[in-house]
Amino acid sequence: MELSRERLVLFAGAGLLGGIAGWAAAEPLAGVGNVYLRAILLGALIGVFVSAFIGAIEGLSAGHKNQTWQGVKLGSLAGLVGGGSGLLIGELAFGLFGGLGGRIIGWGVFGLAAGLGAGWVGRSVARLRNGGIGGCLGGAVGGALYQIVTTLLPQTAGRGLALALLGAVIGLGIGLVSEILKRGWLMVIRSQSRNAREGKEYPLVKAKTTIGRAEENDVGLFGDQSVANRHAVVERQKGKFFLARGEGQVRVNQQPVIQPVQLKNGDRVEVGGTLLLFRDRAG
Amino acid sequence: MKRSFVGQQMNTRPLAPLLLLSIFLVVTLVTEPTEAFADNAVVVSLTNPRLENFVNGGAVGLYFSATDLSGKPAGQLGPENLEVEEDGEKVQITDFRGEEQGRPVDIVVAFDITESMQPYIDGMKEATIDFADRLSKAKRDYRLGLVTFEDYVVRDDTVFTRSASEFKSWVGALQASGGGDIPEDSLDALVVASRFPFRPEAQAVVILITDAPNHFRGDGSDKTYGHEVTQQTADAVLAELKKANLSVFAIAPAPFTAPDLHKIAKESGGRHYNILSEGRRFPELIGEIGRSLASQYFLTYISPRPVEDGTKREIALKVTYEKEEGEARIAYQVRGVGGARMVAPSPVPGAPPTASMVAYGWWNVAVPLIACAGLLMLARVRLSTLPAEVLSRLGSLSGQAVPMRTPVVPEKPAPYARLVRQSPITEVPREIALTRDEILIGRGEECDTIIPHASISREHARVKKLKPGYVLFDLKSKNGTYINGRPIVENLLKEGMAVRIGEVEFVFYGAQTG
Repeated sequence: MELSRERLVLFAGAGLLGGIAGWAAAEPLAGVGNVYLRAILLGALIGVFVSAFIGAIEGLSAGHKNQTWQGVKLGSLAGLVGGGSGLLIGELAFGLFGGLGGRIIGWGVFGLAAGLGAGWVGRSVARLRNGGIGGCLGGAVGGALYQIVTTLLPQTAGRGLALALLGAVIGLGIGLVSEILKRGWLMVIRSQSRNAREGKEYPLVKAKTTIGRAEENDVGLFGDQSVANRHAVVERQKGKFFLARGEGQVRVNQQPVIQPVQLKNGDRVEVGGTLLLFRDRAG
Repeated sequence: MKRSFVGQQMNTRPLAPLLLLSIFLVVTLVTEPTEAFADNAVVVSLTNPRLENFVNGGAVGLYFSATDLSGKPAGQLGPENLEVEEDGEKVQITDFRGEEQGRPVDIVVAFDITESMQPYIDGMKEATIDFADRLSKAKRDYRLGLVTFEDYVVRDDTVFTRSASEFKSWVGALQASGGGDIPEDSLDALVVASRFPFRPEAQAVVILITDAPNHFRGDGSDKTYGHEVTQQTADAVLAELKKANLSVFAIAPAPFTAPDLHKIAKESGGRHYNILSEGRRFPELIGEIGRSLASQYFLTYISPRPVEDGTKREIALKVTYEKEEGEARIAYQVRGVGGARMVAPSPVPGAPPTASMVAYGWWNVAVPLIACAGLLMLARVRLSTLPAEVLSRLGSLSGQAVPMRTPVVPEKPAPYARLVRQSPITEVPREIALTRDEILIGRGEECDTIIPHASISREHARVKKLKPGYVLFDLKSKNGTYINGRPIVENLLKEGMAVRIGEVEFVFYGAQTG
């Protein structure tokens, strides 16, 4: 199975840093007397950091300012709401299932929210679903780790380590599920653009994935003068991928595309000065 | 002989475990009740552990009371009488006190003085001194007040006395009289009791003594008297009592006869005694109320696991009193799915927890900022490379192997002129396509081709398509522009020329049709 190592490292790393940031920001609130109020405050604050960091990393890595900003915005919102309610649910479950069960449920809901926030950025149902599944699984595993770590290493240091691990596992979960469930993607072989590096992958998760030089494209090839603003589109229909030209010339396996063509695994897609390789899971 | 011996052996074999089993059964049957008896010789009752101080290094507070089998409170316990275990682990008691010991107490006795109450009035006279004595022994600064009632409140002087003998004289002066119907106006008496000038720091107690149920609003008393005896209901009285933080000890008829009084006693945190079945030992009953006011205990211990792990922990409290033992168990759970701060145990046992639990320090801001910086660094991590499998596939597609990252790549012909990068610097585009008549190369955002490399100036060089071909201009860059190793200001580009912009090397290829 082909998994993009970079994606996994980026997501896990962003979750880790988000966990550390959330821990530091929320630590003073760990002394709030009312357990339910405390759970809401801690969950919301840690949620904002973890979700915003995970939401931002993809855009940040691609040098995509718009996407980064969207990630921070939507991630914060999802983290605020989901994190607060997640830990509140966890706190209620604490009474029913004890520490381990409560933490698995509570942080699972927390992770679900973080994953939905990260998936929301992609504006596609598939990403939302992948993010939700990954975040929820990651959160549940992270919750179990939280229980173990805070028991072995109590208090401030323990919470710090536990939240760093928890964030990393949530990030890894989101990245892993989106990698496992990806159907088709474009890999950069060479490019004149300043952001599409050799080997970088663009998952084709939306019904329409746009390729071009402008900011709003899903595959943004910035700084490549030979690429038009909205150069080409990959459409997804019933698990098959079709390439259609937009404002610019597109070639598949060195043949110019006039009418939409179905992409096969291993097809070489030329968009201006960028050469992309189409891969799909079936192939 | 031999045969019968074997037969005997075969018979005894299954008997042995049976015998053991029966011995075991006998032993357990015999020992179990005696053990239970020994365990319950002191009846210990626990209320839910108090975790308000758990933040102080895991301090757990326990309220408990201990009585003998007949319900008489065990007085004058000390930490040496107690043994506390949490999940089977013996713990150190850090603080122990008779809960209300030393706390002042204000007591109002509300007395029903109808005809039938005469024996109790006499009993009260007898019990007063003993009652007051017990409170003095527990170092409780007491004050006593008296309210009397029948179908209306008779004595409504809301004054306290500190003298037990004065109170005794008040009781002695009482004359039983009146009556008429069965219910009496105990509710109004309780309302009068709640208006006594209780000290705010004192425990406030009403002892209600009556052998009749209460009148209440809408009970039909207007048919007998032409007016209602009382406008009060049990709930309204309870609200009044709660406002004054009063608990009611009711020596009154059984719960089914006087449900209101039972409810008031229960919900105000007091106790209800049946005057018909327990009235004969009335003086002792008063004494018992005195003892129980003096014998609630509170202890604090430090949990061996001061961690908010959400597990249930079982507390076992064993009390040894006059060579008898009793035990009670209760469980507690430390909450906090997202954590809970504990501070180091206070050096003074029983000292209040640190006041402010929310305190921001510099690191609470600095660490998130560092993490944000870390995220920006993380975004620069590059791990993606073309997998070998993809490279070989590329080779087979184009008919030739394409080794990546080798300095000299045999470039395929392209329909446009271009500068192909030779230096292994990944941030820089692999080739600069000269698809327009003029291209500005540099580090700045305004350039057509942006090369984010330290050796390259903001606006470094320009390539113009002129009549003879493509001409390269240096734009007074800091690190210069070179062709075949020589610095240039402007130079015509020819096929295969080595171009160096700052420290980044390219090879120029002209447009070819192929």
